[in-house]
Amino acid sequence: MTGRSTTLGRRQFLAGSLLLPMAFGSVRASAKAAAHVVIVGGGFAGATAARHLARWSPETRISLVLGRDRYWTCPFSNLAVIGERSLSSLEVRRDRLATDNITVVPLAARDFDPLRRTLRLEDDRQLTFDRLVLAPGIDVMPEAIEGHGPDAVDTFPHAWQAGPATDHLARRLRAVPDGGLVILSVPEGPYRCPPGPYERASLMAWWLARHRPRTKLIILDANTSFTKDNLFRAHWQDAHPQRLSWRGRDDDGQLRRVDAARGSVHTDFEDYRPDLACIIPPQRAGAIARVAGLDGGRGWCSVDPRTFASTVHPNVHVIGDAAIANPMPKSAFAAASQARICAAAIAAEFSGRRPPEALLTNTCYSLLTPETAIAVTGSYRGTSEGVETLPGTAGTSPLEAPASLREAEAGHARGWYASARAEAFGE
Amino acid sequence: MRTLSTLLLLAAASAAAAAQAESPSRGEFLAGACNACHGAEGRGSPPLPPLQGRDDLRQQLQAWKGSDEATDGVRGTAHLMIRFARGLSDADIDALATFYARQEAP
Repeated sequence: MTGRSTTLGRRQFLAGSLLLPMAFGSVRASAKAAAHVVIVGGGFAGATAARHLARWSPETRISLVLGRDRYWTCPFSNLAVIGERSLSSLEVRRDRLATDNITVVPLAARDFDPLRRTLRLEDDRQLTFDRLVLAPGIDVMPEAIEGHGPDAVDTFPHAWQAGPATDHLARRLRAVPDGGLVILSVPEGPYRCPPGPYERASLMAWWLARHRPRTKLIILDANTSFTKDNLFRAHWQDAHPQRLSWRGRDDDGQLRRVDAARGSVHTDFEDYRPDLACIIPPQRAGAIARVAGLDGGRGWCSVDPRTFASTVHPNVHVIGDAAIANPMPKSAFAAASQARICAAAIAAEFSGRRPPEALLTNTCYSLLTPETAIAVTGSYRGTSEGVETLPGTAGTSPLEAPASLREAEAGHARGWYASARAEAFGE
Repeated sequence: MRTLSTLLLLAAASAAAAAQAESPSRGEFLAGACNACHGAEGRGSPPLPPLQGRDDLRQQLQAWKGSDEATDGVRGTAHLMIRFARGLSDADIDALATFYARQEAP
């Protein structure tokens, strides 16, 4: 292949040499001192883990396996759906992640062997690891919906992984005629970004009010309640009483099947022919986190939240959306918090210390309009029994609040977004 | 002379080990949660204020931690900071405040 592959081959050879018997004890000792951590995934979880581990364990060698794809952040991508932010402003240039002790590997991971401690890349070369950290995010499962499948995603766009699909959804929204119908379907949890569908609905309704004022938006929801629902509902009642309606699972909101040829959407009692059906599919952990029984067949990975080590293979850590960490939501903020715990625990273990007491935090901002937002927050403790919410820390923005508060929180959301990108990607 | 240099080497090694043992310190580890919003290294991310070099964080965090939901800031944007502060032990607040106070203000 190319010169890049040759370089990778040498690095891989160096990593592999850790397994070979060494002729001289002193050489082995120095090689052993440079532990090798392989991190798969360069979203908020993987990138935050890599940069914090490099800071907290400077002698550790880190390989960050990113794959070949370009990367756009999901946070703030709902603004791109309504044309209030450019897709290019969401793109992260991850080439800046490479440092003296972080080697960026621009290849996808195929699978791994937790006993031999090897990760196989898409070109079949292997990386040997002391610890493997998996941060692959989600895979979507459109095929789990009757009549749906990967080939029908352009017909029923979800854009739940931001990128060109976000612009496609934006074009589809702009093509909706005045007096038309938009459907937004929400899968049963858990899924990435619990308030995301309701933020998207709020922003779409804001856009429709300005550009397609007679168009209706129906949320078909496989759940009976949702995060910040009292705040979202109060806003919808106030701003979009005739435009936006929410139908939960108990109100015929459960999507039963779709027909891609007709573009139709079906529940138990209703057949819809919308101009746009944004069908957010059910989800599971990214494929690499479902290797070697890591997900126990459940689609998501059980971890010890004190270290985010897998409960199946303790030398493999799983962080971010792929991990089971409820009551923490699957959010970029939570992913970065888990990444810091994971990095601190690995750094501690490599230097013979106990992992730090695991304080985990989350704040999710949701935009109601481009200039107003609400927030939910919580702090958590990782224990041997799971993730515990700390008393008095969980809550939302107040239900009754002046516009100035909602505007201030939109400003805070923008401040958080810039910080999260800076912390994760060094931007 | 040889003994002295050996001792110096040992001292350097143990100092290095001590530095290693503190990576990350409790304050630095906890600061990650603050920097998540307040900018890389706590440099600030407008409109969220910088934390580096601040000498008022212990007092501020303790005030939030002790505030009453019914009467104060939970109704304003401080609701997030009040809830965050409630998740911190007094020792953690001290560690955070000390960590940021030692940083140079941006």
